[in-house]
Amino acid sequence: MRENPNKVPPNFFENQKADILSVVSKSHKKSSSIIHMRIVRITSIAASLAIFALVLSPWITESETPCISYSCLLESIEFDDLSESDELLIEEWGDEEFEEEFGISIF
Amino acid sequence: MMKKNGVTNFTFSGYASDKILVNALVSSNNTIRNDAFNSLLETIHQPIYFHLRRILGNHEDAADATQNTFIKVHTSLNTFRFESKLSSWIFSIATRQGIDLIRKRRNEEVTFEDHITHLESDVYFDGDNAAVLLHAAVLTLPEKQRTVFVLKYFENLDYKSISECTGTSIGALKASFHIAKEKIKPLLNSNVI
Repeated sequence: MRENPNKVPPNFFENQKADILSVVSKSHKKSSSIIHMRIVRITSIAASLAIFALVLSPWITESETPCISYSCLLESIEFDDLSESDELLIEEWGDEEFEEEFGISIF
Repeated sequence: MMKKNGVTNFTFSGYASDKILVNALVSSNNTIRNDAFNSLLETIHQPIYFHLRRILGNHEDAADATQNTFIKVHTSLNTFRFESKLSSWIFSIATRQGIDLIRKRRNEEVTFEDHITHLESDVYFDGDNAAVLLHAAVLTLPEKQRTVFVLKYFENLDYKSISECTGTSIGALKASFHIAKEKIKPLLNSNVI
């Protein structure tokens, strides 16, 4: 009674096995290429962000105010090398005196 | 396929454990992956097909469901958590594929006599009258009772393994099997053939 009466066409299992392996192989290639494309896309976005940050980095000060004028840049650079008394002196100068001293007009 | 104490126990040749086989099946190396899938099919392809054939009752549907089962296995391997044996997990996928197909055909009203006629004319069915009556009777059962009956009677699985395959409690499985037997008995004694 329990003998299996179900039969299959000749070479059915061999043929279906080949079909399954073919589908599995193709779908793996497809998913691999999708993953590869995603990696490329993420890498290019990360690289763009890194370049963007690198370009902007000199313009960003600790006060979080973008340093977009020449005077601002000069200020941030010059004050690093000045003593406290020099800084006080410069603060007391007017714009014209500053121009005479450094030969640079203030924006 | 080996059966120990009613539990289906598959050994995948060349792979010492399910974990090693699954790692090979998801490998990025084509050769390793294809070898692993080949070993998987060598071991479990035919048992899955005949399981589906008994549930679905014809070669064409069983062949489709078998192919879909292994493609589903391939795409879902990353969700396998080793909470059951790999073979039980694959059987559960196959069973779901079979139930889905039965549900699609639910609206087609096919009687016990129709199933007998179909089996007798099926060139891929080679059974005596008793086998025709039994298989036709099984095909009249609702999907869950049919699945439980096939796994218990034909696959000789114990209730724990069937529970893993179907996600149903052992109590409910025992009840389903009992009801299925009660429905089949009178059909086997009928004088249709």
